[in-house]
Amino acid sequence: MRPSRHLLLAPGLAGLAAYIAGLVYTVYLSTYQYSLIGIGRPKFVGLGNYLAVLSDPTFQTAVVITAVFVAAATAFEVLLGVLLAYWIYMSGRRWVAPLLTVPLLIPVVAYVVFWYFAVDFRNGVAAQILAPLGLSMPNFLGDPNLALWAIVGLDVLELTPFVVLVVLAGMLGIPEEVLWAARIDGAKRLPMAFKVVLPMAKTAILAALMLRLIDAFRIFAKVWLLTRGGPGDATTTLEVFLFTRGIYPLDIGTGAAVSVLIAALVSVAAIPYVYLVLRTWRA
Amino acid sequence: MARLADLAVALAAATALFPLAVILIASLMPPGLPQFPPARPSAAGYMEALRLGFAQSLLNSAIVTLLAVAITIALSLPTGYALARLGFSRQVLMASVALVALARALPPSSLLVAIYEVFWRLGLLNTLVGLALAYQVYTLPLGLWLVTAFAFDYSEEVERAAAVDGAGHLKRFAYVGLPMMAPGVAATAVLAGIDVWGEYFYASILLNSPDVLTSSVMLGNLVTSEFRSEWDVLAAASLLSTLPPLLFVGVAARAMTKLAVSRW
Amino acid sequence: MAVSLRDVRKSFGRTQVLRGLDLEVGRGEYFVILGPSGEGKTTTLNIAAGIVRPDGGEVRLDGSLVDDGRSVYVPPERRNVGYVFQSYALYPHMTAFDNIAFPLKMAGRPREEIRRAVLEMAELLNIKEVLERKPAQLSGGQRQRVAVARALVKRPRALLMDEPYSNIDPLLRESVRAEIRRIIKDLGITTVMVTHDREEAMALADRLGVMRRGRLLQTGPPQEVFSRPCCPDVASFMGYNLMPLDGRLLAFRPDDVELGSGDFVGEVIDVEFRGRLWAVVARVGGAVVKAYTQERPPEGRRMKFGLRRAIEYAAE
Repeated sequence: MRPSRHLLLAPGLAGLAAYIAGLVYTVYLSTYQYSLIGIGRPKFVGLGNYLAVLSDPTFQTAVVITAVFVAAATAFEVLLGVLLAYWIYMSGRRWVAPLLTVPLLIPVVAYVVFWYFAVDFRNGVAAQILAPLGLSMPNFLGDPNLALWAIVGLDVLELTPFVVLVVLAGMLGIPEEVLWAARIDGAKRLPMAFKVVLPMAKTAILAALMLRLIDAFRIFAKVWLLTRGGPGDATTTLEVFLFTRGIYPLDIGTGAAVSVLIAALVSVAAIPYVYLVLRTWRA
Repeated sequence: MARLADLAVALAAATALFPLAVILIASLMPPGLPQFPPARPSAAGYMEALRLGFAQSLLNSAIVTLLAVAITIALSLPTGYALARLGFSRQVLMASVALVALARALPPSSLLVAIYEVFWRLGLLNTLVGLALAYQVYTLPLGLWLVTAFAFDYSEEVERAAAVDGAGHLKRFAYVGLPMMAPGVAATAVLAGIDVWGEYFYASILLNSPDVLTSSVMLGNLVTSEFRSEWDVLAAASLLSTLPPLLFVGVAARAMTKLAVSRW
Repeated sequence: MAVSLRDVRKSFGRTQVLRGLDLEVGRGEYFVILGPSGEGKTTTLNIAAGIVRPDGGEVRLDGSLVDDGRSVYVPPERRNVGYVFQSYALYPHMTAFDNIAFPLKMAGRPREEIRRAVLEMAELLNIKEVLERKPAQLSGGQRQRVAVARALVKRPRALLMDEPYSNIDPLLRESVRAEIRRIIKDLGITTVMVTHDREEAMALADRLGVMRRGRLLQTGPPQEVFSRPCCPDVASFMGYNLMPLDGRLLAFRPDDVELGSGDFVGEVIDVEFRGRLWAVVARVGGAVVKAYTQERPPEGRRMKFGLRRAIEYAAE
């Protein structure tokens, strides 16, 4: 009896163990000067890689750019998402929900292609709409001040539907009679939203916020394919930095150090997330 | 106010479908300068995409996705069932949940270097199997989380009845757990598959010869190569890579609602 | 008339739920709509509250038209009615205090006035000690009182209650409903309550209305409806037996049946002990009939049955 219990438990946990082992191994690798194309054996340098990376101005810029992106994208997505979810909920047109799953199915690169079409300042969709009006599009992807926001725009377009779905699902869990009671109690539009519906959807809103926060860091595809991190360093996020300084030159030591730093940064959002998940499961 | 709500609904629906519509229309453009909408639709974009070998890349994507999902389900099913139904202590459950949540939260890019180094030494670079294994970083936490939630979902009494009938752990898993969890597992498989079908970062690093590239990587290469200005080809390839996941809209919709109301 | 519904019709899809309902409730009156479940009682309340719009007819509160099924429509926010839902519909994320205070907050009353009003209500309903708790931490009975307090705190023109006592522990039901009735009467609030419980309706109502098939078939003080039901549908719902006889329908109460002598012959099929009486089910004259007797009759025996009092109706 005993062994079969643990036998069934094992496989998934073994996979998680491999995951943890991978993290540990990354830390280990980060303490070596190790290049896959270099000659000679890897050399232990302790925190040397970290010092080099942390003092690198491109890295420092990357941290800022990533932070700005994560904050802006998440803020827009959650605010827009909650707003849209509320309106959809109050309008009673629930059939929109399945439509909103379509953006989640479209591969990132296809979205990149679409955005490229939309934003290209010569031939893009927006350009062709504005041209007859005598207006011209700014060169989003070529302007260091605008490029990051172009990418934020793509992220918002792609992922706001996800927020809407999560928050809408939470709102649909509200018993209809409570809304009726609120109307009978005289609640007009604003109080209905802020004092009744949104508080009762709080868990869903928090879930959407946390999930976006931890996932906002995963933007390599969008950045790399649209701007290659440019112009200059304008859109060099941490993942782009990881690629250009660690992976592409096959510099494992530096790459590992950057990886650890990225994980550490994401932990700021990951730890509260784990805590909140545990709290939900405790029930 | 009602009109504002209707406007919002229309807006939401439009933004959801707009990208797809643009890509579809663009894919029918004749070669040359882009024009929306195309004066005379042409399938030249599709022809060119296929000539460049896009069909092979779609096949590769399919293989990797199926493999990755299969591995994840195989690992998640027994563990999810065991955690929910085999009487492990609360501490074991909480610890597992914490680990899964942590794995879900950390960015996959953090593990890429380690994976690359190990694959380099083991010769797993540039293989579809290798990529499928690497994709466990994406799919295993999601799979474990969902499958465990589904394992908790069905009633305990069926389990107890089986136990009383003399079924041991493995038999109960096979005859009670599996069938009861099947729909949930199917939904999990679809969601995990959608996750990795369009993945770019890992695929672009771990694969490099043209015959093993997945559709995302190939499309990415097109966007950044001389085909950058051949919008009809880009759009055609994009649409082709979007069709397989779109087949699962219905399942995805149901799974997403379930996801959102279950425990994170 | 505090609450008036005239010729109100409502259909949901292809089912016609209300077929020309007429209801008049005077100020300060406690009116009970009595009827079987699922036949439109809740819909009637919802139309009075403005949550649901009728397909036709007129709804008036204190004489003014609030809904005519067409262009006139006063939304619930502006009708000043109170509603106690069957599920209570309390705000789960607010304390009992905030739940009760909510209508006054929505009306923009000053904070001090709200505090006084809520405490006063809580005192009346005996829930002062639990005001700081959230609904999940309250017992069913406490939640009900909070729901009643919330509905009454704004001194509404009318109080609407949907089966408010059906979820209360049967042992407590009588005392709770009497207590709440007293509070309502003290405050002078016009009340419309719906229930399927005949005994409860007769105990609480100033006037009651029997609702069958989308209409109020008979309204009046409980004694009148009870002893002089107007038609077979009302009679059967008030507990009368119905027995066909020579093309007519005979209605009689179970306690008006005499066993052992009389004009009818029947057979006893079931006997139940009820403490002070026996409930007898018998097949008499082509109908299944219920009778209350002091002594236990033998089962399966054919006996004579007599009626002390009966009402005659023309057959349907």
